[in-house]
Amino acid sequence: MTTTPQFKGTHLFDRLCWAKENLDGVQSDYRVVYEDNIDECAKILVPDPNWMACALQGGILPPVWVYWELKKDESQPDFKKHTRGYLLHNTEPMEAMTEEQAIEYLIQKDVPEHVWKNWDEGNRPKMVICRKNQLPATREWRNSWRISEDVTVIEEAA
Amino acid sequence: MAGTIIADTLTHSTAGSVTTDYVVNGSAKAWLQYNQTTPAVAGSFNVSSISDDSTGIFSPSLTSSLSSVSDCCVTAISNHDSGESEPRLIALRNDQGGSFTTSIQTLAVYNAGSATSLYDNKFNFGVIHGDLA
Repeated sequence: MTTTPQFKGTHLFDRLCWAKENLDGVQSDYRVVYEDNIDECAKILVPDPNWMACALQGGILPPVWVYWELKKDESQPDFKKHTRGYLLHNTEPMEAMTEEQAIEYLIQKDVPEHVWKNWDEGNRPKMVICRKNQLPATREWRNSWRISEDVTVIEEAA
Repeated sequence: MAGTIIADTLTHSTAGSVTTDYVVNGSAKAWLQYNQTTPAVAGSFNVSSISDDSTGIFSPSLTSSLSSVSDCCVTAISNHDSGESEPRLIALRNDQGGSFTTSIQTLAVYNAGSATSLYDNKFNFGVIHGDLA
């Protein structure tokens, strides 16, 4: 098992360089299907294998709230440039996650907040986590894909 | 961090010198190879996920964000399918509901012979340059 160096205070980009050099990518079987606009088809979030390796390894990725803070800054009308990038680099990195915890983290990082915060409000879920083989086998009618109205949610997300 | 070299200039014995600014500012900050037909990330650096948004449209998210979107460059290319002659072009989709932020850039793959047609392609390559946050 590769040991992660003590990375607190190390630029996140440098940590990712270390991970690329030392960790094998992990192709996750999980996919996150979500609908963020009623007029558009469902989107499918594909986890990156190098990112997943970092999440499972621990000691590399910042806590997800750091990304929320940066998004908050960027949403300001007068935003020009990040001035709190140090949060990515100086905040104590996350410990090793399970694959399921990593998917929950990724949802909160990369899926729009209005989707994951209210995923089960309304007539049907706006977001589901599934296995790759549960997606349609071909891309036919891709722009019409929606989350099935009779989908059975067997376990709640975060 | 162990192994750190602090230097402003790198000098080669015969080829000359280059300041390390060139390396820091000139290096790509993220890259990806994405197969939208499956969909799957075939190779990458500094990418946390790719959202398959619809036919020919996808949105990579970065792990280490850029500092701004006015001081960066996103470039990408794609292939065309076997037996087809039209090249494919990749464009930013920020004007049509896509994202263009310091951490997410939505890209669209068009058929160059029919600029309104979007395609899922096997080989999509993207590179992002700019300053990191």
